[in-house]
Amino acid sequence: MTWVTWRQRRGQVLVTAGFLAVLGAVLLGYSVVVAGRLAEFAADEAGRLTRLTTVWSDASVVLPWLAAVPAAIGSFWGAPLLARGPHQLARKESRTWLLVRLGELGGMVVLTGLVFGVLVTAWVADVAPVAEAGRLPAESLFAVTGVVPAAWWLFAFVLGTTVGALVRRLLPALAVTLAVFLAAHGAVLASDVREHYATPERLELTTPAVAGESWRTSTPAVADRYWRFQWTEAGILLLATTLLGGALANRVARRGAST
Amino acid sequence: MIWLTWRQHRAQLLSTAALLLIIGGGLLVHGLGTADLRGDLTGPDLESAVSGHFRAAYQVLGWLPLLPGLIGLFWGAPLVARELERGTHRLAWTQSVTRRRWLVAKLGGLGLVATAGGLAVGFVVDTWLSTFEGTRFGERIGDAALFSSSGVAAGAWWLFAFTLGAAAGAVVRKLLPALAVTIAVFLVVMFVFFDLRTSFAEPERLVDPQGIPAGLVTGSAYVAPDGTEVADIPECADVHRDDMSACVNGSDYTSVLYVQPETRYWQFQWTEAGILLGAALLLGGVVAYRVVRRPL
Repeated sequence: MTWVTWRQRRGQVLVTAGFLAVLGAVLLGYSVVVAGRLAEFAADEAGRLTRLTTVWSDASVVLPWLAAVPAAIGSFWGAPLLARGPHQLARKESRTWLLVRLGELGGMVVLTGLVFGVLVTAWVADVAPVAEAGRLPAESLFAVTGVVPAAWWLFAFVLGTTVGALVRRLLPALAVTLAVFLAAHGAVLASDVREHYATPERLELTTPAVAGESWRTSTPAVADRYWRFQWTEAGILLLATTLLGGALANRVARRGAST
Repeated sequence: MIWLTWRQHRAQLLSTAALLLIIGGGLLVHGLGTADLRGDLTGPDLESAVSGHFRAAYQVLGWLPLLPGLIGLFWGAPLVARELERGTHRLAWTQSVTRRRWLVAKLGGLGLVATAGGLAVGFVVDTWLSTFEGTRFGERIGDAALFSSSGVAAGAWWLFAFTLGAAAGAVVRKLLPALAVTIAVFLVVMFVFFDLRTSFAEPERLVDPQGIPAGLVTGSAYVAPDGTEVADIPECADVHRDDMSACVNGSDYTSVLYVQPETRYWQFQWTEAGILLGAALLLGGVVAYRVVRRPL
């Protein structure tokens, strides 16, 4: 069974592994460049900070876009699984067979998502100690570090699979998956829901210039509560994933995988 | 053939039209909101009044450069790949309608519609941005996301993505891998252009600028009293960012900024559109070769 899963999905697995390898190489190269630039100004902490902020602004252009990677997981791992491709024969798969495949693929998605999170977290940790916490755009990094990426990857995978099972045709299934993922992601960004995972600490600001941006003002709190917020978001996503999985199981139980 | 193209692709066409209506409607409502906020304000007052309003919209609009990618995925990639994958090309390309006419109607017809759709987005975004005139939010050249989704570049991006998807489908011949190739190549090209367009023209060199000029700042340097240009003032190299300006003001060096001024917006738009149209022509050639020249 594992062998069949591998044979049928090796395209996706290899592309994802290749993506992680390239990402790791780029981040490593970036760290080396940062270390080189910092070495020129090893004498003074303040000078290092100035250097690092300049280098950081280059990376911050690309980094937030990594939050869209789960959309690809939903589209290419999830949606094709049960959507009937035009060339494929109708499947005559037993439910156990399907569950095992879902488990194997879901496990791989979580694993690669965790690797992704570890890569970006390790890289940020490499850059962060020198930079002041407030200079790091905590908001854009939250979704690509820690355990949250793995939760988003799994959510997108189950979302894609469920939509594929319901819509049954690849292109419409992809469109719906992308739309729902973007809506969910956009809702998290736009509603500022992350600020409400815990009651914010009240901070007396000495510099009035920072007021007006709520996330920025709560940055010290975010740094302390990072893991608590991470697990909150992961928990919410796992709950949503379970609900989607329920819809999927219901669909499969009633109709079977082949109709 | 036009009727057939419509019948076969109406789901994509209607979804895209709906998406355009949503974007247009959202920006119209948002633009009216900006007009309300503006009132008679000018200068810094105006800027701080509309700042939050702009940011709220930008959280969504920042993702607009991905929109052409969807055209590549849903319009372009299935165009040839689905026919080849299902084997329906053997039927479609052996009718009284020649392959050449099939190609003209599908690639040409849908390409024209895609370009028109992109231009519509560009027009809507331009109009929306004009409500922020007089603030730095109205500047379009410096923002990577807004530049590619406004003006004529938006139309060129849509056409490029469409032909990219079609070419990927014609070469890969299977839908799912064609989709993956399309989005991967599209993203790479998008990020390359984010960087590339800062060097479409030699930047202007502003010596001792007062404040931050309108446009895209591509670099900064300092001129020593003897006229040589250095990247950093040696005396200030180790100074904290917050004390930097005091240190620079206290030295004998004059600061220099390299800027792509806002007035070059249309020049850059046409440059970008030209490059993308050239690429679209090449990709269209790939599709044409697969459809017209290669045996079934």
